[in-house]
Amino acid sequence: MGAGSLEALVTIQLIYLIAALGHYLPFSMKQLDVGIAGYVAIGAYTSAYLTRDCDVPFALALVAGTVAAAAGAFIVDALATRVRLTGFAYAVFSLSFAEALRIILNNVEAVGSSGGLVGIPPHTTLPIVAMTAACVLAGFWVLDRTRLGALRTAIADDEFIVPIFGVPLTATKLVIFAIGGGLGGLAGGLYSHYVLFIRPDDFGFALLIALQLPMVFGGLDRFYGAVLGLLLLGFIPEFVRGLAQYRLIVTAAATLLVLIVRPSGLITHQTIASLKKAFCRRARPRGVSGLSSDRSS
Amino acid sequence: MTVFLQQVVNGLVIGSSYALVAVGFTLIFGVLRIVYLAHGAVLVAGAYIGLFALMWFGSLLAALVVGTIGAAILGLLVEFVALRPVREQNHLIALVTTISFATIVQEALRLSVQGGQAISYPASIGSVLLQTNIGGVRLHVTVGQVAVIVVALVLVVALTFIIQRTWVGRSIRAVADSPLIASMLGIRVNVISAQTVALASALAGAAGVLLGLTIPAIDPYIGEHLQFKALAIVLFGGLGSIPGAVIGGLLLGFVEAMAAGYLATSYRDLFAFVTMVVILFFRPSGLLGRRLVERV
Repeated sequence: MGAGSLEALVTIQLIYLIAALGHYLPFSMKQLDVGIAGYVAIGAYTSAYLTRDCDVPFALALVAGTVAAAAGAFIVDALATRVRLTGFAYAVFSLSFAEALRIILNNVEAVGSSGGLVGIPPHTTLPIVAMTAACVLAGFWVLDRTRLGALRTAIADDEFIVPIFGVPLTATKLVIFAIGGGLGGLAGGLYSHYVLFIRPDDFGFALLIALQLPMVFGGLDRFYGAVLGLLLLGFIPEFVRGLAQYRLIVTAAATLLVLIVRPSGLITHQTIASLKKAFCRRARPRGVSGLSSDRSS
Repeated sequence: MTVFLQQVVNGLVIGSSYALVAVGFTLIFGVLRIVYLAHGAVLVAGAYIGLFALMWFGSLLAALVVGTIGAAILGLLVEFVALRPVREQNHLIALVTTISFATIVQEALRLSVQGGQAISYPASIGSVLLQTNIGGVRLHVTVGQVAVIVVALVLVVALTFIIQRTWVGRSIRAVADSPLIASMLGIRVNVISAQTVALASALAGAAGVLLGLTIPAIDPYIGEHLQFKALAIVLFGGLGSIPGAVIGGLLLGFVEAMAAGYLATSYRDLFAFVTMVVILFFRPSGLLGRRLVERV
């Protein structure tokens, strides 16, 4: 494997990571928004169109794509929340949005319809992607320590209790949905300026599978569960020679197996709690129980 | 006029196969109440199994029977592997396990049969062209297309009979109403769940074989789009409603055939998704169904 292809591999996987983290946000609230492929498509097409046809600087186009995707997610989720869709219906609604968008893009001449958008100027480089991914990861680390992050966990635990404490439930949810969609859009913008050629069918059901399975595999309780899942099922198989052909089947089989044995994925609240406990015991033999029992439910 | 009548016939053929897929799909949704997304993969597997049976035995009937039984067995496997272990979990887990299972089936087919190339059913009795004159209008129909309509009709009637008149059907309906009460009355929910998925998968297998007869070639991914359309039909007709699924299937078939005849073909696939969004928005219970949105 040459250095060039290695670089390409890492870049693409890091872009996937950003998209996966965007996809993770709704799920961290136990909301089944599976429209991520649509948000990525919005970001990819918006920013690619802006740099290619309107000569907008790359950074600005990237921001525009992110904002457009966030707006898309906001609208989809606002509609879904308005008619109080839950579980099953929510999944179908968001999936229909993504698929309908794909079909519409397939028919819009301005963005090349099904032939795809070609000749996108190359702007994305590995350092840019790596820096963005690092910022996003840091952002998640910070988010977990803010009020918004705490509310997210509260909504996941019981979204009917949350409004009783005077928290604007819908607004909080929509903000997090929009951030998630925006991250998807950001990933889309980076993607389109790296591969330089995008087709609507790149953002179909397959993209959802590529993001969804590793995420659930890693566990939804913490964002680094999603990161770990992507690392194990995305990064590693790419580096093993001859495995690329079987990557999807391996991913699916591994996910199925983990969910049967461990329905909450690899990293769960319990894992964290017990790890913390073990770590604290080793560090301080007298054991500080107050530290280890928080968020252990 | 010729175009119109030809599209009516085409719509009936497409609609019948849609109805066949959607009827099984709606049964699973109505009984298990999960986001089940392995139906398309089971259908494709049925189509491939049917293709091999057709090449082996050289008989259309054998293909249909083997494809149906093969798909039913695969359905049982889905239940045992992807549904039963995660029954107590939330919607997301079943969604992901069924997608994983579907991916495994699709990938296995892609890797094992002709490197994933599209493959056509051999010319057989199914592709014999019938030409009929109705009021001076010349219509083209193949034997395969007639078979689609007839078999779909027979299977839907048979399924309705099973659901309405047999003890298996009564148990299925009981579990659909309330798994808890049904289990209190001595119905084994796991067994009923397996029977439901097997029954629905058998219909999907038959639909797969019939689809193979009517479209130029099959590949491991034809089930995916069909599954989304079936999802739209199920939402349209109402979760668990067999008449709703039949009406919805035929309607979508006609709408798509008309769109293909008179509008740009590429917009054809949009109807299903627009229908889904509109239905979820304005009438979440579907045309003939119960409430979809769970009340708290």
